[in-house]
Amino acid sequence: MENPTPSVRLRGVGKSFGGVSVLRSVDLDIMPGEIHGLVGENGAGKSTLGKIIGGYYSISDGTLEAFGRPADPWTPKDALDKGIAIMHQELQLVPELTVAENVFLGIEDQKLGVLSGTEKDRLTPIVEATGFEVDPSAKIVDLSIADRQKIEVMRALARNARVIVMDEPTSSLSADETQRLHETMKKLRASGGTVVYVSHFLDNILEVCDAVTILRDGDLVRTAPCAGENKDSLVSAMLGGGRSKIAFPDKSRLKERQSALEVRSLSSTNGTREASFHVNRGEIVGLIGLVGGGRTEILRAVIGADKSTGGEVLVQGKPYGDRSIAESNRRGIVMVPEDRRKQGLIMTLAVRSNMTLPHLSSFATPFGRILAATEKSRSREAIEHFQVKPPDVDGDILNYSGGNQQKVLLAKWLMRDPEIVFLDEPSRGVDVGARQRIHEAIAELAGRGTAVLLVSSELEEVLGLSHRAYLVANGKVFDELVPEGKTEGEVLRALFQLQQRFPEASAH
Amino acid sequence: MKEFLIKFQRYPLTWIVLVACLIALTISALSPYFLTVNNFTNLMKQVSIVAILAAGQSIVIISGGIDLSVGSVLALTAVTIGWLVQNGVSPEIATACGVAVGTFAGFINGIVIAKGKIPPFIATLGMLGIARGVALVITGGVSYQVLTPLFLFIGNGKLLGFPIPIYFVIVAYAATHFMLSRSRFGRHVYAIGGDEHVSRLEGINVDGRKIAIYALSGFFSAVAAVVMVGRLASTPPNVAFGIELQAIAAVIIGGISFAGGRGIVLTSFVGALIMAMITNGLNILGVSSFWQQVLIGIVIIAAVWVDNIKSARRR
Repeated sequence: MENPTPSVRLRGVGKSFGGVSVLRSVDLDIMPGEIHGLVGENGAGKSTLGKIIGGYYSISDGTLEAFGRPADPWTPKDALDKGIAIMHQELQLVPELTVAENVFLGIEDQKLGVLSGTEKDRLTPIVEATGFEVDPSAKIVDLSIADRQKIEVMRALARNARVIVMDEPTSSLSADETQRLHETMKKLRASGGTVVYVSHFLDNILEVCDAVTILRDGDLVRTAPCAGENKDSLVSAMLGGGRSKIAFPDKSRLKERQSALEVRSLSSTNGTREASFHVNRGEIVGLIGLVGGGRTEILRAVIGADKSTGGEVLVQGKPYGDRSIAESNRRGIVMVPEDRRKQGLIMTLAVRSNMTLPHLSSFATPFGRILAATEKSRSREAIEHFQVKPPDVDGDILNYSGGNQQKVLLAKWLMRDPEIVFLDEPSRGVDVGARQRIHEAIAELAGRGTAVLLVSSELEEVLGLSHRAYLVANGKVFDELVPEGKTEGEVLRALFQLQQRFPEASAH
Repeated sequence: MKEFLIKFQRYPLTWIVLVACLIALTISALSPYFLTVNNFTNLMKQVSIVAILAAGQSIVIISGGIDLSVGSVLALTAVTIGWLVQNGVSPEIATACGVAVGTFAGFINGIVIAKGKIPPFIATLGMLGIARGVALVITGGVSYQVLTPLFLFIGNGKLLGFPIPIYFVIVAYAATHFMLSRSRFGRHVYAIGGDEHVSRLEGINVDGRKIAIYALSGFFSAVAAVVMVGRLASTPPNVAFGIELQAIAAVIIGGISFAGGRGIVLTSFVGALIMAMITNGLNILGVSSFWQQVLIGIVIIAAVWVDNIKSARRR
């Protein structure tokens, strides 16, 4: 039997962001009429791969073919024209327009710019093909997320998409809604469509996929029929065996157990549910969980960025109610956010101004005049300490590499030894050298007595740096564990088990 | 030396000053009268009011906002002074009260923007109507004569050979420049304009800063009003109608980013000067004032276009 032409074919595909390689020589065929799962640890490159197929990222190396033809140039529009659509984690629908209007947005029937108003009629064949029951004149705002995803699927079909890439589509769905999405995928397959299913929910992948591709650290481990895989085989492949180990700095010894931060059954408007944990002085404590598991939200609730609805926070044994970011900073509790561009740095300011922004009062007279010389020398010290390159206090932050921006971000919050630090993904998108320096700085900080709460999607990092760790899922804090001697596999399996115990993932 | 040259080249003032010189040379080549002391003194007097307003407007625009109400607040301040003087209040106290009223109007702008979460464009558009309206209500549409020595001195007096309004401009720009480049408040203005969300996460009191920024813009409008009362020796309630657009144009021509977060205030003075030179120069050359508007419109668009090209290259 002759093999059919793959819908999407990748050969030797690599991708790097600002010199950091996130995908390397990936060979992959996505066959027509299959549901193809992409799995891997956080940061393994599965979302990146999905976005490459959908035209959102250009490839750095290798070749990409769609339906047997070279895909070059390859923008989202090119992809869509050729029949490949991508469904983002955050849906891109216009909330105030109706279902029919959204489905045909941009491809409306019109005469001389006047709408013909045929959207509802045009919707009928799509509804029949998919079997989705939705009111074509309902507004998007009034629909559930699962229904909105259906609209997104119909929108892709209205553009004759034959391949739909779904990037973590179930992360905000209840178990029931997930089931319905799976039905949708099967219907698509029955009508000859292809689905690329990116997810970290292994059960879901095993349930509907025909084939699965496993990625690890930007490398493709294998593509195999789903029937021959099970959860264990997937997890072991995701982790791999002989990964080159990063050397982590020695963990400082804790002399006395002096409580720095204690959180008692804290709940919040952002989905934190009765979280309890504590951090001692000089201790690095990791929060381990999957992306979307509510780790960042817990940090935000504690520091006062989001409103709490219950529970209490004790700092050095004293209750700290009425929390706000300004008050937390004043008390020496700081948070280094995960997204340096959107939450951490002001991209229009120079390096020095960024670093000193939250501490300006300590570089200024009571009347607010900035003591430029002190500010400069302290910034220079911090830059040297973190080995920021280039070491220019007045450099334009926009022109720095990701790793050096990240060092500036850390330097900003750590230059005045804080009491308690929350680190959210402190080494995301950073090359190995910068990562090493960042790890050392975190260890030094704890060595000087600061309490550190660490969130990282890289298990290796959390396990390598932390004295203790907690498992987090669904906005809740679960079991405490000591990283010493634990393998990533054990921890990952424990996490997937948690996920299974509480299947209603984040359906608040 | 090379480093110095790069810094010099990058300094926002360098290019705009060159452009201003080029314009001055062009016009003076066409008319010998343009580059005379007399004409330049005149020019400085003409530019002073827009320049003072542009200083306040610069702070607002760097913070990512806009203040459309400056002309009306100027008028409100002027009639407050005129009305008080008319009713026998001493000119000094009347001036202090007028400045307080102008600052208060700006403060209200700030409250509405920061606490009411109303976009600056809309909030100050409202104040544009309110302040002008109140000015008309107070006076019933009548203009008061203000022929006191204080205002005659401000309008016509000289110090060391320079007209008094120039000193107002110098103090306004020196103070604003110091504030923006050397003070905590100034740093926060840049931070808020660069990224308001991040600024909040840093623990900056964004709302308080915004209130202060708009109050300051009101204060500068009031200071401009004092100069205006001096020059006119009267307080017509329809004074400075539409001047807010000139102040905004001066800031934009100077090169402060309309998106906020970037730029220095001194360029706004040069921007105001360029506009005044075009008007003044074309007057001398006998070009119709209708054409002057066309030219200034082109200059505004060209200034931002050039700026876009420059910043695109930087990335």
